[in-house]
Amino acid sequence: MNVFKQRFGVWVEDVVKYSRYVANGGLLFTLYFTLIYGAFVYNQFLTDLDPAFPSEWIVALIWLLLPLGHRPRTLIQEADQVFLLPRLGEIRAFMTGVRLFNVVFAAIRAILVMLVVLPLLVRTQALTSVEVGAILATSVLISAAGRLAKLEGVQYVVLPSALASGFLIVFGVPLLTPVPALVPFVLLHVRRNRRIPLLDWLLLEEKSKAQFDRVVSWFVDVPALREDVRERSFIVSLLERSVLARADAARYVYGLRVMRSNDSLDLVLRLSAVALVVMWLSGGWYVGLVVPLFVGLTALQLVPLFKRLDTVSMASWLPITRAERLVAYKWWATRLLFAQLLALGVASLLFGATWDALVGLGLAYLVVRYYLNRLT
Amino acid sequence: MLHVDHLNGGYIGKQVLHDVSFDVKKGELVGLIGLNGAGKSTTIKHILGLLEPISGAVEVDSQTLSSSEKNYRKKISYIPETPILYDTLTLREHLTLIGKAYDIDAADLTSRTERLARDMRMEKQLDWFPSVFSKGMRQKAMILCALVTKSPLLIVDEPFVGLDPLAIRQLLRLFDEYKEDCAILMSTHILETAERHCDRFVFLHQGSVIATGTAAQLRETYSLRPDATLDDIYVEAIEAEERKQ
Repeated sequence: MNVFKQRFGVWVEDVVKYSRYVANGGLLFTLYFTLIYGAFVYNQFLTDLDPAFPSEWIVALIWLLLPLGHRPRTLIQEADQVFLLPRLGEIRAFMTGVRLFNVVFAAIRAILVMLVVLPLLVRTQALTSVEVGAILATSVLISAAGRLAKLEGVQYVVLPSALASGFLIVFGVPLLTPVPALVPFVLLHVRRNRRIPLLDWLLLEEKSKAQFDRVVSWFVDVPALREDVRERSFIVSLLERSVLARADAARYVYGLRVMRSNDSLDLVLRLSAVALVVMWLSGGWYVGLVVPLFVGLTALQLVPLFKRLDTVSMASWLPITRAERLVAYKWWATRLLFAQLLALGVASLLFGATWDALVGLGLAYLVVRYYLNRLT
Repeated sequence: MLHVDHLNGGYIGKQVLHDVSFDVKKGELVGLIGLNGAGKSTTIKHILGLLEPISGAVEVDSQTLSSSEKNYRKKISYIPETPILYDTLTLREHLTLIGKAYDIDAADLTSRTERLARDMRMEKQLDWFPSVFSKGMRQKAMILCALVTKSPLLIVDEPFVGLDPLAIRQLLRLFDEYKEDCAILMSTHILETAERHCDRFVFLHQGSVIATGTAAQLRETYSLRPDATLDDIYVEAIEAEERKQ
């Protein structure tokens, strides 16, 4: 049987399985409300938009960003290092399948981004439908080239083209923007891998899978996740002198984890930054309601982490009971979420909230309590 | 120190251990010997309280898991076969965590840490994160975390995997020191080393204890010549058991 088809089948099964969990989880509401609020705010922003707004520069900037941050899926497994090795030369179809699979992913990503950005462009520029089509095509091409470049391990081929397409749109020639965006495909074809680069593709697959698992873990338990660690010696030394010195074992270990992992403190900072941007865009329109939405989004991701941390850890045989671990994690999660709630509450007042700030804080409190109570 | 009494256990829907009984006394290093799948790791998981027994009891220094989970666990330290460390904690922070979990006095913890780190050649690595450790360093880190506790029972699962010869020699020296006040249960496949360092042996086969005793006692049991190695004894024990079946 074709290896790609078989692996693709397994991937589809995984996606369907997890999608069902996500849809049935009941935790999507916060996400839905955030998206709906975001759409309203964006619509408000578009209505009041000054025609002199430099939307073409925004598109040019997005084209520079579109090739970046891709995590291509290669569907390679660890066991392939042994079992696929003798067949590497004869499975061209697998490579073609993987390339197409990633092109589709990149195209979807580009289309989603352009769904948000194109209205901005259409409101400020007089564009024909053909020109809009050309801009969309350019975005898809740049995104696909960026993803393929990562897959083939070829560097610095997409950025010059994205820059050239950006210049064309800024200088008012949107119809020609797909031309430079096509150039990387020629280079990528010439420098493509003839055999599967097993180790590189395995690494790419692991990174991509970890990202998929991280998103899924917001809704269901995915125990075996790797995390990125940041040393943060300044914050940790401050905490060590105050909280951590007196903390019990469970609070100590979760404290360090919360401070150093990109899934905890970073998450709070990232989502708070986005919340501030949304508050700014909303121009004071029910700005207080941004607080429960973003505190809820943070809690949605922060709370399920406990199960992942607790599944395979040294604490399972140390004299730290599960009840102590649970209390300790709740202690840190509560403090992080309430700190975010207060900070965003103050920010909402600065962005013009009045009575809605109070409603927002009340709702945020309930949302935090709801998610923390799910931690059992 | 450790008393395993008629233990039946295993995983949901699969009984692995059948009426397992043995003791490890203070001052002893006991080797838990068995083929792959004999039930060594399952026995260890039951002693650690990670698995619920079907029947039977495990007692460590007169404590059971059901009487007080926390006190029971304080009596045990463990070196797993595969190192499990927190990615977000440096080695020194792991040791601080252990100190807090086992209520070790800060000054004691510092002096034990310094000594053990020196002995295991891990002084430089104390402030490193596990992500940059080699396989051997990870194993040494687990050893440090277990030995620093000085808990009454040390359980060791295949401790020599990934260690260099110097580290193995140093570890065995540390075991000899550790067992003066405590007891050690060690599961291993390296029978030559086990023969030289273990005081007694527990042979496990298909989830049952088929023999226990010192090397001399086991030679006598299986009527082997005085120079028979632990390898010879073990092979004879397995063959005798299979003949019996």
